[in-house]
Amino acid sequence: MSDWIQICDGQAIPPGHAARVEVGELPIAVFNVDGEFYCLDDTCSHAMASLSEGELHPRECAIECPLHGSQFDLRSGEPISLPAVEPVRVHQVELRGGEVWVALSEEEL
Amino acid sequence: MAVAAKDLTKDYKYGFNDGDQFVFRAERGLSPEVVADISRRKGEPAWMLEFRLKALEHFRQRPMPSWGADLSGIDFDEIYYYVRPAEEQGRTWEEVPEGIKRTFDRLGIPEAERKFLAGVSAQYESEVVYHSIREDLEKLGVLFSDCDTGLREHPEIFRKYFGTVIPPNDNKFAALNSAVWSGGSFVYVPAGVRVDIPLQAYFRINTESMGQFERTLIIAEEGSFVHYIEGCTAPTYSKDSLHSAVVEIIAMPNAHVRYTTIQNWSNNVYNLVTKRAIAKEHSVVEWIDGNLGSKVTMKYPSIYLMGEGAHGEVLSVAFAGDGQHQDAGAKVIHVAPNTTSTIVSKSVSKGTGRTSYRGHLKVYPKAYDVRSSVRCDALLLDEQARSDTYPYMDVEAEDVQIGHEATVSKVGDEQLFYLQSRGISEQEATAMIVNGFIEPFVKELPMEYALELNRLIALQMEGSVG
Amino acid sequence: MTREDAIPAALCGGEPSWLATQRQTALAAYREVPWPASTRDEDWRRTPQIDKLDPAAWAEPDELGPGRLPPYLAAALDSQLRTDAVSSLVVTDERGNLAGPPAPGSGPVPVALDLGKGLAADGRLWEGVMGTVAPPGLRKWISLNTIRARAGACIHVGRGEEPPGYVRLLHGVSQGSAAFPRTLIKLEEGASLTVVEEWVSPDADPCLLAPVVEIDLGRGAHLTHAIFQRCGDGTVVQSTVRAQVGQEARYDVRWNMLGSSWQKSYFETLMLGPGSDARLVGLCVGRQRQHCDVQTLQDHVAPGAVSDLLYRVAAAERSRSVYAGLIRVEEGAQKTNAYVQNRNLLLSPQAKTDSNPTLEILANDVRCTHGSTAGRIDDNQLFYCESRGIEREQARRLIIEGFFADVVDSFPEGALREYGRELVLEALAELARSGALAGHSRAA
Repeated sequence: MSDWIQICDGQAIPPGHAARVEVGELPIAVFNVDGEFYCLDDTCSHAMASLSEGELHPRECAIECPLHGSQFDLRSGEPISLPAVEPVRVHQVELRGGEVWVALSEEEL
Repeated sequence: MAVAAKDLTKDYKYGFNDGDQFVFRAERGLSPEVVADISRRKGEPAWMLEFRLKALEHFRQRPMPSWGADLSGIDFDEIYYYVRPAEEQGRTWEEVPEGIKRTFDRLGIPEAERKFLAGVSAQYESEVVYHSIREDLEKLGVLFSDCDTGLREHPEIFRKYFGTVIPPNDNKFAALNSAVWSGGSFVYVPAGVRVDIPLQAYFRINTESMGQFERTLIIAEEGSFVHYIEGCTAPTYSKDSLHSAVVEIIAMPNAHVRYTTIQNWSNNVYNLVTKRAIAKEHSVVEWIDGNLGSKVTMKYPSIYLMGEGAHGEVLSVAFAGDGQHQDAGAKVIHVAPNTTSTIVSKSVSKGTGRTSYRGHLKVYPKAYDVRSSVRCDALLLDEQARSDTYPYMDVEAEDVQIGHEATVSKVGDEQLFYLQSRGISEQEATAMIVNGFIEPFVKELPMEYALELNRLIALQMEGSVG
Repeated sequence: MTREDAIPAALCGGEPSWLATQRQTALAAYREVPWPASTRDEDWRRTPQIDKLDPAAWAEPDELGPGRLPPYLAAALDSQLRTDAVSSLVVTDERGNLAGPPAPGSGPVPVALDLGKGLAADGRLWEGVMGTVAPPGLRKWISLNTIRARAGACIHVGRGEEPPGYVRLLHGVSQGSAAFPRTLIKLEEGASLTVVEEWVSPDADPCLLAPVVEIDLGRGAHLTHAIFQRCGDGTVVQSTVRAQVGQEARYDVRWNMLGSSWQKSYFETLMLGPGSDARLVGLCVGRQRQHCDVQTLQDHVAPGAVSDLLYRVAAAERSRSVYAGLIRVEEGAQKTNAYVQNRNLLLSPQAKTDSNPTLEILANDVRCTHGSTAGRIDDNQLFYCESRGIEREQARRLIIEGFFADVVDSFPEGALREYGRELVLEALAELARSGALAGHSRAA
């Protein structure tokens, strides 16, 4: 696991919202589901789409890609429905003193 | 850093009352009101209404595909999305073109069926046949009904699988179907059950047969077998110019599902279909796909080989006569290791007809030990005919054996000469050669269909089919 | 230059006014067409590197004109191809045409001239070729080459002439610059010639080489054209080779893609004359994170023509190969015979190959086939070698050599075939050195 990076103020991402952040060349998506934060690679594993623009399904704790509708589990990054079949990477995310911090996964793309 | 967060929760209620008053809408065109009306009329649960409305929104936003056949002739505003007024039910027997009537004669189609196929009668009178088959199936625990009934009587199974193979925003026409679907089949085969007789769409009752926006869902539990057949070889008249169906199949471990389609829609129809199957461990899924009619067909049956040891097969035939464009193909996605697939596509273009094969074979990195072979052959019978082949092979694993071959040619002069020198006319000889060309497909059909198809090809060669 | 705009270059020593006009036309085309995008353009769908490529990043060369030969070019000149058979030599880099040593086998009149000299000598002739075979509006990279070309070659062979030996072209680029060499080849009726091109650049140099070659073959002419791409690992290559093949003329082209960081190369043959014949043969060895995108076109306009393509790829380590090839038979092009074969050998679990051969057939009395395979080294072949005492890594090398044999042997015997073989062996040795041929256990 790599170093922790400070991303933003926790208030900037209210519940039911998501933000796309570029860490260097890598776009990541930070989600707030009823106060819990999750962080995935922003790019869908199926095609070039931004998960931070999709639809949140709080009950299933999943994000639905806006392009072809694949849902990904926010906790594991695994696809729950087609057409995506590969998972997206999950990054560790924490709230420290009201600030959102992220540690990028070291898994190779 | 400063970030701009987006609200990702969506509300599809559109501010309707939940009251049960609804207005009968027999107008053309698509709107949230029409969709809500469809749902209310069917008495659907709230989740299905939300599903439909969300799909509608996606349909409106999604642009038309930039590839494929020419769809500029479709006028979405002129379509009746649910009910048409009674006086628009069909046509009279006198209006049916002579060529079609002759074909029915030559193919030996029974009287009752003729009126139905020709669009003269709205219902297929098959009660007697249907009832006895239905009893047999019930004994096995097989569920076979239309989807509306399936949703109503088996909501848990339905909700678990519906839309999981083809999500509403998979493509524009899946979105349309998801918004206004009606009819289609719901098939559930319990574990270990073998359904020996092929299930056919005709066996369902109380449906708008051959609806425009059919939705079919087939679930085959572990170790089961089922063969489903839709369509028929005889020319089938449809007043509706747009058919946009969705078929979802889930084959559980060790299950075997075969889905046969023979489509011969009248030449005013745009036939745009999304068909996809998920094949789990050691299961087998076969798409047997015959495209004979319609003005334009866009259809690419696909199989996701998700479980180890699964096998997928697509066997398709496309026949394009004057003014027709059959844009068909197959998609096989190897996700799991030790999976195999075979695709065979045969197409014939006559007159100004055009056939296109579009295929996608993808092997994901974790799918090692994969074998796949694709074979596309096209026969061009006349100077004006056209054929295209657009296969994609994306291979991301090393331990594979992938092969693809395609040929395009005309009927061989030597073959023709040989047959003609034995007293066979050029037309008959061409028919024989074409029948031989599509033989791998025909031999997979139940016998009555095979015979009908052979006869139909012979008729096409004579140019006597209207 | 930027993605939207560019400043037209000019040839040192002057250029005809029609060329300046062509550059302006190309500039208008360049401004009108957006930069390619992998999410929007089908051609670029599998090559997303184009999205990050920024023309503004390339440096302008320090000086223009025929300066000294940089070391990497001098070394390239001193290769196996430095034989008596070389009849003309043209050397270019980002500064323009350079003064190379005299060609060992040159006669009184060189067959190939530097671009500027050629245009000055016979402007009318070249005006009918340049921008005609490869119109600037065809794609953005062609218009950019038309705008920025500072160097190249004019190769003209007269009626019935068959100059012995071969013309050698060496195109280089370095110092983080961009070079756009333009080569024009015209063979008159019954003429025959062999042209060998090499594209080179130093390693770890973030430069761009974007050659365009336009070829016009008259009736019964025969051109043999070999291309060796051996660019450094920081170089981006964007190329178009486009040939108009006349009646009963023959075009033999061989490409060998062995270097660069990533590339997209077009090979297009237009069968304009009845009975014309094109043979396209190529190979690619991918290593590290190389990305090689080759796109071919066999366009049968005239009847009775033959075109036959064979492209073999060996993808090792984390490399990726993308191939798209179109056989198009226009209405009336009866009695066409057209073939495409793409064979992909995967040498590691992370390698990727994409293959998309397509057919668009509008005439019916034709014979067109295509085939594509992808797979790893055959276990039976490996076992055979090992059971004869050949150790695994060496066995794999032998098998890969065998895989490329028909491509390498498609050259007539002689210096060219030996050169081609040498380069393939060198590439395989490189792979062996970096452990890419060691073989491994199946992915868990």
